[in-house]
Amino acid sequence: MTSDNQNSDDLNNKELEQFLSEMKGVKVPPSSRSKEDAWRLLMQSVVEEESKVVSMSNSRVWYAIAASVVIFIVAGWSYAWFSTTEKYAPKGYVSDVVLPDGTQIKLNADSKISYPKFFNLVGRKFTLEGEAFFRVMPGEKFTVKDSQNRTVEVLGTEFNVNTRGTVFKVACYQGSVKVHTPETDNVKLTSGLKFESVDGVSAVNSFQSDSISSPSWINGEFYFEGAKLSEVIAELEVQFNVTIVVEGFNPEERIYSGFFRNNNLENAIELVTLPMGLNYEITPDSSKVIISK
Amino acid sequence: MSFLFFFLRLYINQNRMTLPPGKYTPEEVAWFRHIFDTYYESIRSFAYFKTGNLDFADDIVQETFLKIWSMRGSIREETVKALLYTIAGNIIKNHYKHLKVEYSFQKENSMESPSESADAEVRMSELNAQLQQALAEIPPGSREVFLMNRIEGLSYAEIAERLNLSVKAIEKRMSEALRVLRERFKYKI
Repeated sequence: MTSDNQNSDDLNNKELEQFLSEMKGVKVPPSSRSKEDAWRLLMQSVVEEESKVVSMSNSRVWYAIAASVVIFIVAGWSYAWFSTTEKYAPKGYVSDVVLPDGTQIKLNADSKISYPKFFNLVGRKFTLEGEAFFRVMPGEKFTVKDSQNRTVEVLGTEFNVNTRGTVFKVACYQGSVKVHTPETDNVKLTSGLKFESVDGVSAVNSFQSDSISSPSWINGEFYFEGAKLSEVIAELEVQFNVTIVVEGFNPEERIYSGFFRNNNLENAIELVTLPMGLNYEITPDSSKVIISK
Repeated sequence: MSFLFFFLRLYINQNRMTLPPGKYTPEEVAWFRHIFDTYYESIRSFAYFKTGNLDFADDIVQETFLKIWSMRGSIREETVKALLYTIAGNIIKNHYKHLKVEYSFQKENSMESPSESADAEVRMSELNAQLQQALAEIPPGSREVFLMNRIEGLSYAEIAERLNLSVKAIEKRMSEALRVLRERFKYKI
C-alpha cells in the first residue's frame, strides 16, 4: 500500500469503525412463521414427497398392466403359432382334406398330417407321417416336413410324399418342388421326377407322369416296381387294416413288381402272392393273413 | 357399501396423519430434526444475505431442507453443513437470480424503554439506509461473507467450512468488502 492510501485509510477509519460497531447489534429480522411452523411445513412437504414416491409405484402398476397386455398378445400369438390341426386317415381308409385356401390333400391310409390352425397367418407348414398327395393352391410358401426333418418345399404344384417307415419318396406331378433331407442338399423336382430315399440311399428318377396326373393310390391302385416285399406287405396291411404274418421267408429279401387294388382283400393278396409262388390264408373275420412259402 | 368405503377412507387418512407413507425410519426423522434445529437460522440468514427478501429466505429454507431430506440416504455426516449451503446457493442461483437486493435489518431487541426504542427505530432506519447503500456496492460473493461474519458472527474458519472455501479465500473476500466500504466512507467525507 502507498503512504497516501494509508493516510486516507487512517482518515476514514473512524467512520468505518463507527459503522462497523453500529452493525454489531444488527440481525436478520425474524421470519413471519415460527421455527416450529417452518418444521411442520417442511414435514408436510416431506409427506407429500413421500406419497409422490408411492404414486410413482402406482405407475409400476401401469407397467405391470402394459406388461401383461404384451404377455397376453404374445400368448395369443404363440397359441396361433403352435396350435395345430391334425388329420388322420385310419387303416383301411383314404381321406380327403381341403384347406381353407383351396389346397387339396389326399391322405393315404394310416397317415397323419398336422398343420397350423391359422396357417394363412403362420405359414403353410405341414408335418406328415405316412403318405399324402398334395394339390397345392398357388400362394405363400408351402412346406411339408416329416418326423426325420426331411422337407419338401412347394412352389405351387401337385406332388406326392411318402414317408412310411424309413422310406421317403417324393413324386412331383405338376409344377416343381424342392426336397431337402439332412443327407442331401436342396433337390429340385420338376413334374415327372421323383425323389426316393430308402435306408439313407437317395436317388432322383423319372417316372411316367404324362399318362398319370396323380399317384395311382388315389384311385385305389398300388403299383410297385422292384420294391421290397416287406414294403408291399406293409401297404396291404394299411389298406385293408389287416395283420399279415409271414412264415418261412424274409420279406426284406424278396422283390416284387406288380400292383393291387384296395377294393378286395383276397384279390389283392392273390395278386401279390401268386406271382411269387407264395401261399396265403385269410382268417374268417378278415383280420389276419398268413403268407407262407 | 358406500359407508364401508367412507370408513375405509377415513381409516386410511387417519393412518396417513399419524404414520405418513414412505420408506423412512424414526431415526431418519430424528436426524433430520437435528439438522433442521442446528442450521435453520443459518440457512435462513444466508438466504437473506443472498436475496435480501424475507419471504424468499423462508421458501429457500424449505426447499433446501426438503432437498437434503431427499438425499438423506447418500449424505455423509461431515458434509451436511457445506451441502446445505451448496444446495441453498444453487436454489438461489437457479430460481432467485437478478434480484434487486434490499436489506432491512433489525436491531437486536434490547431492554430499552419505549421512548428510547422509538429513538432506536429512527436510528435503525438511518443505519439501514446506510447499510443498504454501502452493501449494494460490495460484490455478491464478498457481501454474504461480510454479512456472515459481521451479522451472524461466524469466524472465517467457520464461514470457509460452510461455503466449502479456503480461509484464504474468505480473508480475500472480507478485505474486498472492507475495501469497498472504506472507499465509500472516503467519498462521504
